Amino acid sequence: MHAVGPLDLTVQEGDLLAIVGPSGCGKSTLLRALARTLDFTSGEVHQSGKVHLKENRLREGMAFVTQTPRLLPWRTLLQNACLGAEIKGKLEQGDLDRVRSSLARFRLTGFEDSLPGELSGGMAQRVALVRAIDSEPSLLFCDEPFSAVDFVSRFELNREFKKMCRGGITTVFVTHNIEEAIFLGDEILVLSGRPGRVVQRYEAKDLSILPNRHDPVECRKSAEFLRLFDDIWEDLKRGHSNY
Amino acid sequence: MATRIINAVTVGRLVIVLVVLVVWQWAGSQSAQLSFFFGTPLLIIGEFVKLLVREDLHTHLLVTAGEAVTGLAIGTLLGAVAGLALWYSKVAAEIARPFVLGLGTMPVIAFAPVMIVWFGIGFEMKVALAALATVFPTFAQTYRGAVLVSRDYVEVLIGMNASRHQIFTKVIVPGSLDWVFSSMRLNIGLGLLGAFMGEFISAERGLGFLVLKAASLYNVPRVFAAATGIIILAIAFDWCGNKIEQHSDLVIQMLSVPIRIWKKKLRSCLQRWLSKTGLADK
Repeated sequence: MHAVGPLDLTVQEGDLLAIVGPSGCGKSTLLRALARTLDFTSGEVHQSGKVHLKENRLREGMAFVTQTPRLLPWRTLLQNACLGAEIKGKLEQGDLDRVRSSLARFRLTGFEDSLPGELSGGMAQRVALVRAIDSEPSLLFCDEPFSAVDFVSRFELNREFKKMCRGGITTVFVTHNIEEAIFLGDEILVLSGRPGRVVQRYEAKDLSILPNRHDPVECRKSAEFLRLFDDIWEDLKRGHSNY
Repeated sequence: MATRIINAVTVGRLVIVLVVLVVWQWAGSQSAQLSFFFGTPLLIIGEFVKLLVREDLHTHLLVTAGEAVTGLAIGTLLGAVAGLALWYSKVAAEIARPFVLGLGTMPVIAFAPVMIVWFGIGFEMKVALAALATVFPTFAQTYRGAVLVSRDYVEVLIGMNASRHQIFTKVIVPGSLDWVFSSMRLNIGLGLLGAFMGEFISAERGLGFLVLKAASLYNVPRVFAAATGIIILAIAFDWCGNKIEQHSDLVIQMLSVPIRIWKKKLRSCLQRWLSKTGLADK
């Protein structure tokens, strides 16, 4: 059985590629294959022109955010957020200050010394994001990071996430939420049901017509947004008869 | 509601202790034979006071405590290090498994004669017995803990391109320390047993020595009085173990997180503790 069908995709450096598709279409498998944390039966991943092998060190500068925050339960929130910097080398005062300001940005000030067990699911997920982004990755893989977050927080997180990624982090973002994909994506890839194949690809020029791209609430009110939403919805229906 | 339940539990426990003591005292006073074989609570209390005043009970208590704590510490440390080291190699773990299980189930007293040959009849022999009693259970528990550390946490570090050594120090060691602490608490009894056994074989001081001497003189109440010392030690050790477990997060952080991000927390913990004990004002 194949989780993902034959497909070919490219992500421009510094862009965010959003991948939408029905449940079980192999979105997460594709993401893990791209990140090379999972072996695949055939195919290749290239990064900046070089083949991205599991064994070599090209994985350096990569970060992964999953559906569950996976915070180390014995570490405080601040210590969890600093993990990336710690792995890279010696933790300097500058790293600590940077992490603290990121935590403040995600409204986590005052909880630095709390343990993950004392946080809500949404807060823990925000820490996982700070941990990933503050390790200053050149490649960021996100597997439905906001799926467990409540409706209102999701908008706020989307807004903050977009701001933080503007620094040029190349991101592949898997989601089943069409609105999120439209708001965050520089490009959108719509996958069919299992085994996932590309049904449609929306490029930067298709998305550049959207107004208020800095604000998820305002952006989704526009007619362009609604039209795009309908198009993607139709693509999904086309790709998966049961959807 | 919760306080009411706690009160009921305390009252229930006290009632049981009182009933047992009263029946014991009454039975002892009815028959000289029973009193000889089992003593009575009043006789035991009398002997306990005599031990305290005339026989320096606290010295014997400290000797046994010293042997047991040293043995427990050595056993736990060696067991934990060996158990964690096995995480590095699945093959080595598989090879070691039957030996560890076999040695772990062997009664510690079986090794006593050879311990005398190796360590003499002094303090070292009792420490060795206490360490031997605790090392294998700790070893097995720690290895189990290391294997059971969630794969999710390991994957987070793999994603960050961490080395195997970093995964070991940042995830495996801290993730298994809870198992080490809980096995240490379970092993308190074994550590005390090891020290006690050592004192039975040969000693001039210690609670085991007191019990043996009293039993050889057919002084049953004194045996019970000395045994009370063991209970006191076990309770005190368990209390300490509980305190360590309560602060296990801090201990784990001190071992696995750079000092820069835990020293502030340690300071705030110490300040809280000092203000609670009133030492901060002095």
